[in-house]
Amino acid sequence: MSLTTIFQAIVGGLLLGGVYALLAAGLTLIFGVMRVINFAQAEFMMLGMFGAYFLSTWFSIDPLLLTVPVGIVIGALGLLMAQGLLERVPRGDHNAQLILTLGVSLVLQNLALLLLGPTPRVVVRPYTNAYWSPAGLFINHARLYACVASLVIMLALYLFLTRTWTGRAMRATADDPLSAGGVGVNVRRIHVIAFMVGSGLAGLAGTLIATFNAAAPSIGNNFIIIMFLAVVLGGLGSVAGATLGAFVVGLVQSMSGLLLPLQLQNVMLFLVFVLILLVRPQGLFGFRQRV
Amino acid sequence: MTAIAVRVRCTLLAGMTGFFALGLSGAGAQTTIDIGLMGPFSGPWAEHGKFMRIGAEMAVEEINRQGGIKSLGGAKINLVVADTGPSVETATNAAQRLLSQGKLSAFTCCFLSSFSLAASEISERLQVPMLTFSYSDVLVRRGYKYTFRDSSGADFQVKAAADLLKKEAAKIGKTIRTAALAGDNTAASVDYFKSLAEVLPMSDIRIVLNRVWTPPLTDAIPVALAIRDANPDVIFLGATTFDDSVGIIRAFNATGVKKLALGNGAQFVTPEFFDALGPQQAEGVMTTQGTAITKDPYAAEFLKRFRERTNIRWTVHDTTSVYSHLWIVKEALEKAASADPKKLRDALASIHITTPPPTAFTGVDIQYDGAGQNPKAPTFIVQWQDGVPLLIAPGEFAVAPLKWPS
Repeated sequence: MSLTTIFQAIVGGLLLGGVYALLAAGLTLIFGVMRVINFAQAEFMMLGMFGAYFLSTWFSIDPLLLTVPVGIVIGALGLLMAQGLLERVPRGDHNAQLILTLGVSLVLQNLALLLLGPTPRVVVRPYTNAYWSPAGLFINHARLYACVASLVIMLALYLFLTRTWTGRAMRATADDPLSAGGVGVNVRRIHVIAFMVGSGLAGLAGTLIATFNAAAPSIGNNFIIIMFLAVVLGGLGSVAGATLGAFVVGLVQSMSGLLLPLQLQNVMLFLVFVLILLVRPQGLFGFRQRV
Repeated sequence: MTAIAVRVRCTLLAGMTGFFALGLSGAGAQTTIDIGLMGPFSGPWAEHGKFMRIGAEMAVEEINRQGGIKSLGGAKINLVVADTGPSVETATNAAQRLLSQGKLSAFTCCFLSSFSLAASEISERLQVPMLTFSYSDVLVRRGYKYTFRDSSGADFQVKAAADLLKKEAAKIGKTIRTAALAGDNTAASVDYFKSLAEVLPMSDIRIVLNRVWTPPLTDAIPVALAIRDANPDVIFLGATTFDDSVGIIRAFNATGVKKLALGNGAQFVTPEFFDALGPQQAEGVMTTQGTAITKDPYAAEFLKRFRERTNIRWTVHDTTSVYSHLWIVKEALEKAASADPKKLRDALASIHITTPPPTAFTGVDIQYDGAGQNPKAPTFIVQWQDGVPLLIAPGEFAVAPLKWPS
């Protein structure tokens, strides 16, 4: 095994992890604030992919420029779901919430299949098939741009959560909703905003992924387990943990191909997952009392 | 996701015509005959289900328009569609639901070999004939009486491909001595690679690399680099999903792997595959097909109708195979003069079709051996040349010679 092969696997893992991070951050934000496990998160990503495909095809706009507008639209959809459906479910009834999000996931997936058909939709830009080759490595431009854009969005999310009143209110609600409500935070409103931001992040991730993966109604199935793995690894409810978890997932997936047959890639991932949870059941960044 | 079985009435007109036929030919005449179509209409292989459905619907419309099944008083064919979903489990459930209703006379199934294998077990148990174009040879090696395949399987395809590639290489002074295998672990690819492992050494071709993954492939570059380092003369590809098929060719182009590459199915020749890669990257990629648009005038006429109907530039074997299956079932129904699945099975077992439509897509007579395989079925190899997938083998049907990658 050459050094180039090892570096290639590391670079591939980091690029994957960068995109996974955005998906995982949205999921963990929703869980952290609302205590809702959102199974529809991957479908919001799928809608983001289709949004990027159609808008870039109809108006000849680069999908990277569509990231924020599509994210806002998907966020608005999340807002509707939170207000129209989730807020109607008794708070604390986790089974009902779980089944509701699972139901929304199936409805969105099948609606997309019905309305858009099964044909994979490919966004083709000059960078889709282009590679940068520093020191014998091969880095796909689309994956690189997606990873960089994802990190920029993660930085913006960090600033939002730490520097704005709403962001701080979200963190306070995540830590202790009762106390947050006691100091004037409208907890119900913060829940809805958290769901909107979380689903918007999935939409943003979708537009980025559309630059190197075909949009299809069932594409979410390829990502949902990865998202949950990253979130649980990082610690449920921790955005920083989910980001780290996403990079761990990306790196393990990529590096395991060097040591084991490729078909055991996900076996290795689950093995690492179990090992980490054995040592730190609360996840890398999670707090024991939260879980 | 749960597979959803959906019953589809072909047209209101067909039903009304059937109603009048009942009145004219007496109470005993059958008005409609249910024929099933099981395919992946959702999940990662849904694109192929779409192509299958087009073929089935075209055949049903044409058969019904031409007067239906004459030996059954003009009975119309009613297509019953069932979604296999994305996994063997969902495919098994769908087959169980579809066949246990006891209304189907026969069905065509399922694109992916692993799905066809699961459905064939239920079809055998419930005694409903199944027609398939899936590649796995296990389908016709278990002594099943209700499974029929009119196209070639993995073993035959591998032998034909190895022979063709060696012959064509010799013509231009090249020798094929080494091969690399790269694909996923779905049943079709596993069988394909198993056949390659047996056949290639007999043709003096050494396998220098074998890379198998569970779909989806997260990054194709490491696979392409391993192939580049192994430096084989030919690459056999067994990627079955769209993203993996595109990803691996993209990675070959990025890493400078310019070798003969032969895929194992329609996923390498769909219009979307071409749109994703463009003519330059797709150039030279080959794939095997169970059925194809041969030189038969009927096939050319079919392609014209297909284009008018779908606005899709070319078709793949998902469409032509299922279209053929419906016509084969039609002939069997005429022969059996009954919609009873057992009688239809006997008719299929002894059928001998020598004329189009079905022969236009296989190039040979339709006739099954004791195992349910059409032993004469050839392997078709298609290659991307200047932005068009051209039939390059077998020689008697080929419209272009093999183009060596440069």
